[in-house]
Amino acid sequence: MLDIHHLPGSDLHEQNVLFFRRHPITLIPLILISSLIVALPIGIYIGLQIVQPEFLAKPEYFTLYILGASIFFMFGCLFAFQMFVEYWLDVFIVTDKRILDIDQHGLFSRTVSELRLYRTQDVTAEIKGILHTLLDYGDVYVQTAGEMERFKFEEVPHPNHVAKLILELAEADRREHLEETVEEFGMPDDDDKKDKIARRLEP
Amino acid sequence: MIPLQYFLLAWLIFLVIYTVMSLLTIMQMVRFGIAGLGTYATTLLFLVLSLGTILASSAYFLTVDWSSSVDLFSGLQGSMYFNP
Repeated sequence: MLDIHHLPGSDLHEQNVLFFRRHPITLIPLILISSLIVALPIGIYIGLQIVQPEFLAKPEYFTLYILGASIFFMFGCLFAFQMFVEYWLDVFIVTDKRILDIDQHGLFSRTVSELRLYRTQDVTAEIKGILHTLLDYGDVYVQTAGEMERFKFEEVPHPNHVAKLILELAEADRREHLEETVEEFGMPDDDDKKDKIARRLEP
Repeated sequence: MIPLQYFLLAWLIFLVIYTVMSLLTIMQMVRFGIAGLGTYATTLLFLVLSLGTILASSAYFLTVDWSSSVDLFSGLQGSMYFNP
């Protein structure tokens, strides 16, 4: 299992700041499917009792019903659990050093993307739609200078708060990694800032 | 007339497939899930539901006379919705 307090590749003093998943509202299809899985065998039983009550009174046919209903219920539960696993294993982690985006696609496909915070160039929060606005969830885009140019956190709660936090953490991390930042983004245009940075970079 | 045993055999085959798929799913959850109450609770719930269904079905199946046969269409004859 993944221990949130001991992430792989973490520094000694790295601290977790945010850990979140997609908004629980995205589980509605799962809830509807689960309800159907429970309701369908019961519905068939009630339907048969109405249409032809003597059908299930025969032990052979009742046995067939139990065989079918039990297999349907088990595979339905398995399908629902797999959908839940896909939701549960999809996580976003923000520490004071980096951002981790763990994407689970299906059961056997997993992508782990990592971004050092000081390489963050821009963070955008997007909330579109009535439900998204009412429940305050949406997408957060993190523009980077790395191989993956844009991180996307999909359907996360409080995206504006998340975006602001990532920006603040990125700014703090850039101050710690001044040399790499200057190499990455170049010297600023402002002369005062340029002098300050040059003095800090002097051996 | 189809012997009931054939249906039991089919059920057992589905059960084996289900067991394999469940084990793979649980393995993924345990391997990659974040250690915590949510992971344990949901996995346990799934196991309880699965085992409960299998045990309840098996308990009923012990009372069934599997040597009997069933005519799939005779049961529906006379129904207002099935009149070939």
